[in-house]
Order: sequence, then structure tokens, then C-alpha cells
Amino acid sequence: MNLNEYHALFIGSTMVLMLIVASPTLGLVLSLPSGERFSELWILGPDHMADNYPFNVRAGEECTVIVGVSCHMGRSAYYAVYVKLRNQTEPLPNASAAVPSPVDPEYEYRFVVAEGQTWESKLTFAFSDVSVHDNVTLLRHLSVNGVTFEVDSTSLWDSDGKGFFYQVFFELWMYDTEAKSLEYDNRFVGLWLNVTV
Amino acid sequence: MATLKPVALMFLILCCLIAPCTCTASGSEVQAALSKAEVAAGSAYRSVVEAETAGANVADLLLRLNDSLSMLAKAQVQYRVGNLDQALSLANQCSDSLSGIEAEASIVKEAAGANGSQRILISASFSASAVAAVLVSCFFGWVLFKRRFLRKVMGMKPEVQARESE
Repeated sequence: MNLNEYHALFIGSTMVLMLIVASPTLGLVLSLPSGERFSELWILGPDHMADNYPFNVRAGEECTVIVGVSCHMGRSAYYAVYVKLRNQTEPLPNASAAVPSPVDPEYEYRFVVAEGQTWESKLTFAFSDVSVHDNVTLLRHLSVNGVTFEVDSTSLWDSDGKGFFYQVFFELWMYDTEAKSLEYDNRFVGLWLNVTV
Repeated sequence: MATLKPVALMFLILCCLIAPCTCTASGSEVQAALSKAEVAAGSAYRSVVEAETAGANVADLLLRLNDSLSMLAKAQVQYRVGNLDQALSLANQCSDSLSGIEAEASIVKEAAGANGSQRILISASFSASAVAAVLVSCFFGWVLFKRRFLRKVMGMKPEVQARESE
């Protein structure tokens, strides 16, 4: 190695050392690009497993599921989970247009979740005043966590699935600080139930 | 017995007249209280997020915000089932608790902002001193190295090679 090459090596080493000693301050001042931001929504069975979900439900029978939300938004997020009930003909949320279901919510949860944290809650529900006339079932009341809602929903006999089907589904909404309101987060999970008398 | 019946009837009529006035909140009153609580919840959440972004520890505020939001959700549910009194009471409680959270979040944010600036200033002065130390030591290191290198080169004897033709 000649003197010029040694000179270049010294300058390079000096630069690297300067960057190393300045890195704590650079870390405070510079903001690096963060990863993908998203939220998770799930329902688990009563044993806190993705198993043993309620399906055949009799009138008056209590069913339990666990609803969970996880935050990966880079900061704390304010969520609402709307619990809705639909029959086979009522629409689900439109995932491609990010539009929620027009079905009115029955029960709801509201909470904040810190970045990287999860929120879970046990949801107990039961149907009451169920009546069957020919091939139509009428569901009068839905109780969620001890609160009874008048739903008056009908369902036709499904000859393929052999049952009167209703779906309890959960929509995730998140507070938008720009719009200053809760906005649908385009995430939902549902549970098909064969409701019998 | 004969005098008791008119008294009981009067009492029943009075109850029917007084009960709606003292117990039942109107739908519009509850809606207004719920809207107020919704706005307060959003405002409190934004304040907490601002404090969090400024570097404050907001764990306690998040817990309190969760309690208030749970109250707001219960108020909405009670309103949906037509329990207006309870909905109104919960919405008002929620609004009260949220105003406290918002005020505290602003204080915590200001403290965190001041701490953050101080931390950056201290870190920057340490880094500047360290960079200067690196520069000076590298410069003197280079001068010493160069001097030793040149001395070594000067001290070398020229190598004499025999000509092939000789």
C-alpha cells in the first residue's frame, strides 16, 4: 500500500467512526420508515381456541365466544366492534368497496389498544322467543352479555344446509384522527348459526 | 275500606303523572348527550395520541380512556334498547371523565415535549464532542502514521539489480 491508499483508508475509517458516535442523536432526529400498519380482528371458541364454535343453537341456550383485536398501527388506536345479526338475505360488509353492512348494530364494544397489544372480551349471547311457521323461523329477541335486543328477524329454511341460518358478525371500526370519527376498518368476522326452537 | 279506595286511586294517578316527569329522559336529550360524549371521546383520544407521539408514558391515560369508552359503549347499547335514563346517565358520566383525561394528556404532552427537547440537546452536545474528538484524534493519528511511514520509506536502501546483459 502506498501513502495515498493509507490516506483514503484513514478518511474512510474516520467517517465510519463519526457516524457511530453521532448515531444516538441521529436516531432521535431522523425518522425511519415504519412497517405496514394494520389491525387484526378474530373470534375464538369458548375454550380460547379456534375450535368448538357454537353452531346448532336452541332458543334460550347461552353461547360464548371470545372477540379479540390486535393493534399494529404504530401508535395506540381507538376501536369499536359492532355486533350485528343478519339472516341469509341481508348483506354482509362489502370488502372490495370497504363499506360496512347496512344492518344496524345490536351490541358494541369501544376501547383503545396500545401498539403491539391485544384486547379480548368474552361475548355471551342467546336467542329467545323463536317460533317456526312452515318453512320460516321468526327470531324475536337476541341477548348479548345480558342485554336483550328486539330483533324480529325471519329466516327461510335452507334445504342445502338443512337449517334456519342466522349470522352473528363483528365489524371492526377505527377512529380516524383526520375525519374525527369512527370509520369502518374493512375487517369483519362472522359465525353462522342454525337456530332451532 | 271505602275511604281507602279513592286515596289509592289518587296515589296511582299522581304516580303516573310524576313518574314520566322525574325519571324519563327524552330521546333528543339522550342523543345530544351521546353526541357530546362521542366528540369528547374523539378529542380525548387525539390528545392521548399526541402525548404518546411526544414520547410521554400514556399507559395510565389509556386505562382511564378505556373505562370511559366502555361507558360510552354501554350508553349506546342502553339507548338502542330504549333505556333512556341509564343511557343519559352513562353518557354524562363518560363526558365528565373524558374532559379530565384530555386535560391531563395536554399536561403530560407538554412535559414530554420539554423532556424530549432537553434529551435531544444533551445527546447532540455529546455527539458533537465525540465527533470532534474522533476528528482530532484521527488527524493526529494520521500525522504520526505519515511521519513514521515516510521515515521507514526513507530508511530503505535501494535495491540493486544486476543487468542481464552483463
